[in-house]
Amino acid sequence: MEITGEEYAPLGSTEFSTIVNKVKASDSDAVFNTLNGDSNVAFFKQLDGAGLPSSKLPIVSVSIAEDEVRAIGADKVKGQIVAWNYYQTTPGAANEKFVKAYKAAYGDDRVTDDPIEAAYVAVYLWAAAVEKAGTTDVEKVKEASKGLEFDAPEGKVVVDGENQHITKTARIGVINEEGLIDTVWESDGPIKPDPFLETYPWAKGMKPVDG
Amino acid sequence: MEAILNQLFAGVSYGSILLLIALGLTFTFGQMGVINMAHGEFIMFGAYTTYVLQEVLGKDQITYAFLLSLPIALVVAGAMGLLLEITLIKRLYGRPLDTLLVTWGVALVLQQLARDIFGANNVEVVSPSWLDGGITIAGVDMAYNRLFIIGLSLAITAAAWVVVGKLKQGRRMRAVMQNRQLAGASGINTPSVDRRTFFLGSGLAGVAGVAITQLGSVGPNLGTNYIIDAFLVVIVGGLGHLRGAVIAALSLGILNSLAEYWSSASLGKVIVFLAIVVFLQFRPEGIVASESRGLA
Repeated sequence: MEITGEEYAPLGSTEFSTIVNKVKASDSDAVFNTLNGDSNVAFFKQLDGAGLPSSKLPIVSVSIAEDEVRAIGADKVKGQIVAWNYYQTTPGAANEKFVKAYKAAYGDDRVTDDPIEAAYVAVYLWAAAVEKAGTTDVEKVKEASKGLEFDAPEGKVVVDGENQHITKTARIGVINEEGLIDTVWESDGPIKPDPFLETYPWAKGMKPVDG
Repeated sequence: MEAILNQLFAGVSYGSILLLIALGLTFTFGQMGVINMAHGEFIMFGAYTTYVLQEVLGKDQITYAFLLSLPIALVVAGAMGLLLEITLIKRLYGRPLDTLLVTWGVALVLQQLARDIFGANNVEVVSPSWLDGGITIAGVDMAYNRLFIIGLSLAITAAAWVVVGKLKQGRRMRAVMQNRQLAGASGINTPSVDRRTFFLGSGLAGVAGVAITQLGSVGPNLGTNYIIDAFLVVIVGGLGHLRGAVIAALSLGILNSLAEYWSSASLGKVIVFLAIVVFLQFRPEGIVASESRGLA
């Protein structure tokens, strides 16, 4: 794999014609996109204007979920690839119940997505930890949260005792015509969280900053 | 060579967007000297006008919804501007700092209003099918929506030039701008001219908003993305001068896309800002200068 270019835009930038031109001129096979928020809408609209649909140039995005697809327009991003832990289409009874309740509360045309699900799960985990601790005292709740399990819409999640992150299943998805995301690959079960990059060989030389 | 031509087109296209968003400001800020921080929010409400029309007329009438939203956004944003002028700005003429703070507050209120009405998330504005895609001439890819915006900003600039340069209304505007007391003494109703100028300037922001729906996101923060650029164009161009605004918008657009091409998006912006700072050191009155009651 050869990296043909790397570009950064100011946060909130909405003018991408130069970057699109550069991508086009580089004749790259794919783009890895970490843009956030409004910029994604502008980026994909302008790619579309330059005649680069997903069939010509696949783009892997890490900040486009179902709700962003609604703002961009599904026809402009269908076939593009995203990475999350949860999609509205994720199978399971817990998710069916969640999606149904969400649509009942906010309307049939609304969609759930990973950040929405993560917020939902976090509230339940906190509540379970408070119940277990019998108090809302922060230190006691932290202690009680260790090893807590919850049957989340994305599947079973477990709070890691060492770092308080939760185990999550990694899912690669492709955006479909309806603006929903179909899982095309997923990890074998939930992955143990490693926020400090301890298991990555390339991060061996890195040391945390003191203090 | 092809890359340079592509960049030049990108520059002209970006310049035409800058011109479109700054045109209204050449009236309200350039001619009247009002620092209207809510100008970006008028752009935003222009964009939302397109969204509302699209939802009301249905997605099979996109072309009508889009074309109809151009005049309607002019009236919607113009009316908002008029309301702002009558209720607040009228009382603040000659107090630029207070105007800045008050209109900034209004901008925040309008953003929250949009959030309450339309939700915090961006909404989708569907492009008419004839604006999708583009043509390639001599290796230069020209997206139809970009060509449309270039055409629109040319047409609106021409219309604004006719209004200011040829019509009675424009003559009065210029008279009030050059010497308010004398204009009043000659029988011109200056408060009425102020209101009309402000309506026109705000309305043009609404039209710019309609055009922007074809390029970027439509959300409550839309205005904040463009307001700084709009002020830069007006200041570099010379306060209140259409010709200056045109030259400034195109120069900044082309400079930005070339600088960005040879460096990166962030560095390109830095280069443009530096160029503006240096330029204003030597020519603080802007590209086109004349005596005015503005801030310069």
